[in-house]
Amino acid sequence: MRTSLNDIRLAEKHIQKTLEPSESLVFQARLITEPVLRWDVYLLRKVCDVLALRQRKGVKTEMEAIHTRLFTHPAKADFQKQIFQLFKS
Amino acid sequence: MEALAIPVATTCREAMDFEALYESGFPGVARFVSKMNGSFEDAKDIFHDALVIFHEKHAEENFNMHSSPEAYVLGIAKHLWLKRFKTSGRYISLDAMESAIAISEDYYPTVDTSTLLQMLEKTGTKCLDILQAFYYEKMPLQALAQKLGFGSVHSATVQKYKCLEKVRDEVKNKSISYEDFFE
Repeated sequence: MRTSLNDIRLAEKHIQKTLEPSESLVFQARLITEPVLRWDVYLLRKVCDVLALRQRKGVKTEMEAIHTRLFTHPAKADFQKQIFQLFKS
Repeated sequence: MEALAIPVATTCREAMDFEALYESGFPGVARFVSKMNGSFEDAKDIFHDALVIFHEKHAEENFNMHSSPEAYVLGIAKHLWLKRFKTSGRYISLDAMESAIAISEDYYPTVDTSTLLQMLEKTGTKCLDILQAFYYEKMPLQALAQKLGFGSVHSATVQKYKCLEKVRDEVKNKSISYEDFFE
């Protein structure tokens, strides 16, 4: 595996805390001296956050579609009335 | 945003009937929001966020629910209301089940996260599918290789790292620095 890919592999194992003790020692020493490696670790953490965000957006899109169906379909008139009554000023 | 390649339902331990839960759960949340002097739009926003969080918790392997989904979603909604309108927190009473619900601090995204999401989407559907399956769904590599049509676990693994490399290069090309992502 290329060095660059191998560093990403090590960054992943570092985050997952699955590095062997000896590997971990070397990796932590490299983190101090190699900014690019620190960047790999940081970026990987961010990617995980972003993937969660992407999934959430997908669920929200689905929610919007359900909301529109429930609040426009004539068969759901009772449901709509029940909700709108709560927000009558 | 491009369409999700992996349907939402496949990320759950069991597929979730969102429509049924919407119909049964929304009135409770709407009642709560109305009591807090919130609007219909507030109720909708809070309910959607609560459903997203419920969906994520439901997908966790060790998730045990000791109440109905509707009660759990209402509990999450109360937490979200507290987060959003901190000053009115003293007017909300949470029961034991509701108090035990924990919502991650980073639930609401920042601008920087949104920028990275756009870059991630530029890596293409295949990369997104691999990264999503491995890092978000925690799918074992063997299953991931089979599901996404890789010849071996090794080739799926290498592809996963190449995708991350692609994201890194994209960020580099845009001259975005480490500091730009600091929040």
